[in-house]
Amino acid sequence: MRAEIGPQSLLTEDGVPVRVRVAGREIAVVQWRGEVFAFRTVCPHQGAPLWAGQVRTKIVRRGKRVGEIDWTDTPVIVCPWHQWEYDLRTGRSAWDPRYGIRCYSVDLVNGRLFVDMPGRTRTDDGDKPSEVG
Amino acid sequence: MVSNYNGPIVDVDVHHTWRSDSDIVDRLPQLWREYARATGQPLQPPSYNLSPFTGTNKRLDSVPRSGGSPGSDYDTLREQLLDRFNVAACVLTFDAGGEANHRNPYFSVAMARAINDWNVDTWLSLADDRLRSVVLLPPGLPEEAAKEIRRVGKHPRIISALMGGNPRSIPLGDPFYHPIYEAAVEMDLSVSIHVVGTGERVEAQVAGGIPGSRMELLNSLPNSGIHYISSLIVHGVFEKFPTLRVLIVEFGVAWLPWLMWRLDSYYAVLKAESHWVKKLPSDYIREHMHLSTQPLETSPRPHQLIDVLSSVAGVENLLCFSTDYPHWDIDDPHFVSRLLPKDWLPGVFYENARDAYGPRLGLPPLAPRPAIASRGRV
Repeated sequence: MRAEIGPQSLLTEDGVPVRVRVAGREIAVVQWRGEVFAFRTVCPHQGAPLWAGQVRTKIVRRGKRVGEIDWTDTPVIVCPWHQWEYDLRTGRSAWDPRYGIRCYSVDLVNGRLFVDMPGRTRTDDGDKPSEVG
Repeated sequence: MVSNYNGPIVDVDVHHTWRSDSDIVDRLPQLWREYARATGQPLQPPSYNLSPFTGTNKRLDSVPRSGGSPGSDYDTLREQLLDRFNVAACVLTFDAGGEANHRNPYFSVAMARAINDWNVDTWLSLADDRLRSVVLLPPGLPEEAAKEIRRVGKHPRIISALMGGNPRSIPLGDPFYHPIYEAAVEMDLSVSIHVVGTGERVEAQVAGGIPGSRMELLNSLPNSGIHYISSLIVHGVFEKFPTLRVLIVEFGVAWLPWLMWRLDSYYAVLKAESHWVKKLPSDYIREHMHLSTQPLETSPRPHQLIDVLSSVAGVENLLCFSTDYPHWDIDDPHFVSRLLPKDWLPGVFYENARDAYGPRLGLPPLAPRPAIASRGRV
C-alpha cells in the first residue's frame, strides 16, 4: 500500500532519522544529500532501535594495497549499539549477507512524503501517520 | 525479539555515572577540589582516544532525554533496562571503575571516597530495590582501598569491591594487593575485577605494544584478565583467603577453556615454585571465580562457542549474565538466551550471581533446577 508519512518538514536535519508510525508500523525516515529513505527500525542483530542510529556513506575496499579504501555515495544506517551497517537502498547488511532490514521507497509530492509499503493493507492502519517519540 | 528465558535476571555489569562533574568535585576535600579545578584534572583518567566511529563508546540511544551523559539518569536506565526486561537486580559499576586510577594515587583515594559517597547518597538512596552497587577502589594504594571497603562495604546495597584496572601494573595476585582481599573477605564482599583497557588507566594489555585502533584494543583486553586469573592462583591468594570470591568482568569468556587447560598442563611442572598452590588451577577457578558474559563471543556457527565452553566441566556454573549497559557493545538478554543452551539459562541469568556475590546479593533461590549433565572434563 502507499501511505502518507507527513510533511517534508519532519526531516529537519540531514542524516538524522525521524521515527514515525505509518499503517500501524513504526518506521524511520531520513533525508540524506537530497534523497529520502525509509526503513524498519529494529536491528536484526540484537533488536536495537535503528532510528537512533547515524547515517554514513558506505566504506568499500578499493585496490589491492593495504590502506586503499574509499567512500561510496551509498548511504548506510549505522546501528546505535554495535554499529552494524545496512545499505539504505537495498537494506542489506554491509558485512554479513545473512542479515538485512526492510527498506521502503519514498516519494515527495507537493511537500509531503509518501511511502510504498508492499504487503501492508489499509486494515493495518492502527492509527493515522504520526511522529513517534 | 524472541527469548528462550523468561525468568528473573541479575545483570552484573551496568554502568552509571554522575550528571555533572561538580557532583563529585564538590565532595572532594578542599585541597583536591582546588587541585581538580586548577589543573583541569579530568575526573576520568584520559584514554587512548580510540573511540568507535560514532564518537562515543555508549549506545547512541542511551543519552537521557533530560540531558546528561549516558548512564547518568535513573529514568532512562529504568526504561531501557530495568523495566524492559525481568531484572531482579542490577549491579551498578560506575564507568568501569577507572575513575580512581589516576596517576596521582593520593588524588585517586580522594576521588574514590567522593564517588562512593555520591553513589550512596544518590543512586543507592533511590526507592528501587533492584539497584545494587560496588565499592569503588583506588587500587594504587591497597591499604587505603581496604579502608574504603570497610567504610562503604557496610551499606546493604553494596555487594562487591570493584578494582577497575591495575594502575601500578603489578599482577593482581601479588602480596601488594592482599590488603584488598583481606578486607573484602572480612566484609563478606566479593571482588569484581573489571576490564579497563585504555590510556592512563594502565593495564597489562599494553603487552605487545600500545594499540593504534579500536579493533586492536578490544581484542587485547582478555590479555590482562588471563594474567589476573593466573596471578591470583599462582600467588596462592585463594589458599590465603579461602572464602574469597572473584568476579572477572568484561574480559570475554571463550578463552577460559584454553586458560584452564594451559594452567593445569603446566601445574605438574611448575608447582615447585608455587608450592602453596595445592589444587589444580582449574579447581580454584571453579571454586572461587565467576566471569561475566558480555561481550559474549559469537562463533560462525552457534554450537561452536558452546562446544568450546562445554569442554570445561561445570562451565555453566561459572558464567554470570551482564549487559554492559549503556555501552555500545551491549548484550541484549534475549540475544544471549538464544546463544546458550536452555538448561544453562537459569544459572547464567540468576543463580550463578547468587553464588558470585553470596548472601549480600539478597535474592532468594529459584525453584530447584534439574541436574545438568556434565558435558566434559578439562
